Amino acid sequence: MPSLVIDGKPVEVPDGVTVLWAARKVGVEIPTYCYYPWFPPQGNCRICLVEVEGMGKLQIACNTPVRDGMVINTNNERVFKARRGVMEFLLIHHPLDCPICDQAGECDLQDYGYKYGFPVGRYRHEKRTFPKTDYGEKIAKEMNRCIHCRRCVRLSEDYLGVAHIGHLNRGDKSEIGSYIEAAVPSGFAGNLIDVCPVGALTDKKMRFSARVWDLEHVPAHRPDCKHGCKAMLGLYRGKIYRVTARLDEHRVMKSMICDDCRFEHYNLDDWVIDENDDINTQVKPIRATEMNDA
Amino acid sequence: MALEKHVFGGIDIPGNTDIKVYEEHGGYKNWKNVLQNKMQPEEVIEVVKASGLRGRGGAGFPTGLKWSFVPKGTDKPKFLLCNADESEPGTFKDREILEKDPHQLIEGMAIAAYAFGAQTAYVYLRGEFVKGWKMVEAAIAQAREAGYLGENIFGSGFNLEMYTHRGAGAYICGEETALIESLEGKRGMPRIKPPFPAVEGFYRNPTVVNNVETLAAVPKIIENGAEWYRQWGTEKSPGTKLWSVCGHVERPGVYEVPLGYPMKKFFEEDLGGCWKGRKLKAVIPGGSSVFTMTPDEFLACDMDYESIVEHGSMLGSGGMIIMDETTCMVEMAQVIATFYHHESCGQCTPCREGTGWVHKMITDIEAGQPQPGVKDLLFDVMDEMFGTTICPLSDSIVMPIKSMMEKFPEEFDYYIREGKSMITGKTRMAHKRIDDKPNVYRRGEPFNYPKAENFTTSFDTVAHETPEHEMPDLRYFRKVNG
Repeated sequence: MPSLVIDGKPVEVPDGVTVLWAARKVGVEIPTYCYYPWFPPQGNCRICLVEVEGMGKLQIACNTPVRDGMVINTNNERVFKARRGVMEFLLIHHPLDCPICDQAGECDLQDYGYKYGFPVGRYRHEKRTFPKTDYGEKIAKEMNRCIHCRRCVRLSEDYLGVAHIGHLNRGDKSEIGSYIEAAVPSGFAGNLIDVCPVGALTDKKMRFSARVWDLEHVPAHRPDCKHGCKAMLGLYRGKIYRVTARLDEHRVMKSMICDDCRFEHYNLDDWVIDENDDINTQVKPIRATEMNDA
Repeated sequence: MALEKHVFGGIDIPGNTDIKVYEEHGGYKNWKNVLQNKMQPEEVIEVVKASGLRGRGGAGFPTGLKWSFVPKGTDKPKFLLCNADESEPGTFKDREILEKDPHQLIEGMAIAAYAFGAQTAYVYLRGEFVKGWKMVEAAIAQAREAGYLGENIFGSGFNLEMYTHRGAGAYICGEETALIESLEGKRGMPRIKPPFPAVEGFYRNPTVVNNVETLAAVPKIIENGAEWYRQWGTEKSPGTKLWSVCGHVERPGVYEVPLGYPMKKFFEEDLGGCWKGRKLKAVIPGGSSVFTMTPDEFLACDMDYESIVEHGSMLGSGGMIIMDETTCMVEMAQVIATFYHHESCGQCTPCREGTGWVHKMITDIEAGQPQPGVKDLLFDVMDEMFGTTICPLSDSIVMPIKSMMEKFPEEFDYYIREGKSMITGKTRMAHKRIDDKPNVYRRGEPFNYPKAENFTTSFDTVAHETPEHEMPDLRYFRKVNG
């Protein structure tokens, strides 16, 4: 059991875990973009840089294994400056369209932008733009908002089993996309929307129809679903505006839901409300239509 | 006095690409000796360790140590990869070996593979090296025919197969983990470490990646012993090194120089100084991606890893770029920025966005239309890029350009102020003027850029937590507006 100190807090963790894991255990917040617990760490967003005493360079928390006696600083001037630099680089090409972006309100880029971003942009050149190409009828792709975290690439390769999404070109011209601009041929393609930390992949059905902070989130499942999906309904004035997978406190999906649940069932009669958003237990189901009476 | 080639003498032997000529000059003798005299793999590693051979690709990591990191007693197959993806601007030493002496490389690879137990070896060639590729292919075929490669070599029970692979023209594939990715058939992007390639490399198997020059030096070290190799060089960096010299110099070319050789002597006697009797202005000693040196620093140092670091640069791959007094450093910086902007793989955020930004800002300077405060902004951006990425490509654009801006500030100031070069008097990128384009910054537009040091938000303040006394008085607002 290596014991280490993170921001002055001593912690003992099992062997083989990462600094990020240890930090989350003691409640130290480290920002992440490309890190997703479902996949092996990729380490390319560089926002989770932390200072490990005794090592010259800043290290990424998501891939640095813990060692006994490590002393880690996640919140000093040097780390802040490095993260501010990464935020600045992410934002120089990012469009200022938060007011019309469906992700606004639950966007990692917004959250960390508040925390680490510059108050003004220093970039005075033309922004990089891409022609608009969607993934089929259901998923809207806005490449200009993409931060190249490659979560969607990894989800489609590792979980959906279709390597239809890839990285085209290189350098600052690189684009995430399907080469033939086609839909992702999977019954679970809608989960790409949930893994995207920014507004690059959004639900076409919900587009421009509601703001996420207005929605009331209700855990529900559909008895007819052959996959047994545990979904989260976004309700506004008793109407379903969107269906998503259930997310935990780090906005990580607890399980995937099928495209049938996500896109096709906007009628409350189809759903059964669950008592809590735990995906493993269901207690006392009630029909969604009875919810207001109960 | 011309410098003698001790280790890479085969380059100068005509017809040495043929196996017969190579054998006449003692070729494959060492490989035969190693197998027939039953030299143990550990002994080979010990000799290479004792010789102090260091990786010649740029990082200078001790080669014997690298081989000894490969785990012993695993069931996994092991791989030896030869990094012949030599794309560094100003470096062309490996090409000489590939085109003129491929058998020495193959022999070195065979010994290296034997040392840590690899049964498959790949030569990853730069795609543009068509001639070198043909030579290596032919050499491998000849060696296999002669029984130096294949199954059960000389009845020793050791098998070794060797293949070539041509890259598709990406500079980043010269980085070892990107090379592995590329060889696996994926997009060439560096991997995060750990795990290191010696543990999990090619197809997640133990892998060693070595430079061409490193591997080609192995046969001579095995033949003559570690002490023989240590007669040249210094304590910490023994042996000899190939240097490729280009630029404004009297006698450019590839030279084998003992490490620790005085740079002044090498430059003035062997290279013949600057061409056309001009004055030396600056030198990049290690192939475009290291710090630029001024003549004083350059002529004072010795040609070994430590001394060059002491004098403010790095040895790198040994691709020396000599610049005379007619060189405009702003133009040089722009050329370097163009290269790295084009070659960034697009994985890490600081490199993907930063290389393009630096390139655009320097191009603006050269177009005669820099944004106000461009110099401070360049330094800021380069500080943010330095040391924060997976591979050193981001550092590679920062090191030459930052050192140029620090060591030749008057040229940058002149270009920014006057809109033309202090040396040539021309505006080289005049066709890139941005005045006519909409939505971009125009010259003369007043804007004060916050410098990072003066940036008031400190790291523990969250921007949205505005103190109450700074909030606008909304009652007043309503009153005024009725």
